[in-house]
Amino acid sequence: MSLQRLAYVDDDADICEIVRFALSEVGGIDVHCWNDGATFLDEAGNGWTPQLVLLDVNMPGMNGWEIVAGLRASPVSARWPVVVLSGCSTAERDGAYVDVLGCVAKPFDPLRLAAVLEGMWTGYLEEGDRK
Amino acid sequence: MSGLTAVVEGYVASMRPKGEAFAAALGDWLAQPADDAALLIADVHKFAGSAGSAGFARLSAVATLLEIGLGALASPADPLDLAMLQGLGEDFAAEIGALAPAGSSLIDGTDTPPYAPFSRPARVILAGLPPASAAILAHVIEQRLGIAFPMPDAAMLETVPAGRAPDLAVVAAPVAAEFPVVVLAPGGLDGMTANWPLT
Repeated sequence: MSLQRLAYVDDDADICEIVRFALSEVGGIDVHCWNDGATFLDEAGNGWTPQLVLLDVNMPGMNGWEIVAGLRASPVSARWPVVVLSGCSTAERDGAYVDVLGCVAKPFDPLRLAAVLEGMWTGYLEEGDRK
Repeated sequence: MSGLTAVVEGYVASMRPKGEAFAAALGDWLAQPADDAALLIADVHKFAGSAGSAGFARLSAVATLLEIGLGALASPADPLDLAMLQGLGEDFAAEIGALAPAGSSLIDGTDTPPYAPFSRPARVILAGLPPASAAILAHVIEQRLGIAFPMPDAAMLETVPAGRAPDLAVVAAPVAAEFPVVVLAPGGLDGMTANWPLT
């Protein structure tokens, strides 16, 4: 099964457009973007369920890790796989890689982003099959 | 790929006024760095992430250095740190001024990294530099030269064991340095350190 539906949360509208292009036009993935975590948590799962959630980390209001906590607190989204799109070295240093599939570093190559996420998604499915 | 061109054109159109506003705000702040730089850091963090993804590696690199330097700035700020950040701010403004879709590596097909790595990692000691300058230079060195060893107190130079001399020592001089010049005066060095190469 290929990756077909992805939710993306980032407060930066400029990079949202790049991600939307990278995933929709290059990767053929149905992408829904949100610019703040609170709205995403309110709306996520209402009639449209992502297979994968892609999160920025440094955002005003609710940051990426708080969004992960919000997802895990809801029975609807508790098991949604999450990838963060941010400064990976900072996340690693902070020991923040709990409960996420992995990290894609910014800046990223928009022509390869879909393939990278597809690879993470495939790995996630294979891991699930082994359990 | 017309969709890609449209994305880059949209990015440039959106980023140019934002970049000009940031450069002006940075200049104002550096002239009188009274408050903390949290808002500037949040803004420049976005430039660092988005510019590289849109194919503007140099703008992304300069923004990254500004983010590192602003984040490491002490209070009150050291004049050398402010001078280095001023120079980076001018680099940033120049990159914004030259921002055009044709300059994106996504459009012209070239993949030009902002730094050209050396064939062998060098060991570079940064001695006696104020915190923002040391953080900026350490990042640049680790991107293009090798390994940086910040030593806030220049007296620590004397603790480097014999046989472990660095390839380069960057030692603070009582003059404003212009980025990315890594210079420095050998004043104060003697004994074992006198033979270290200085740039």
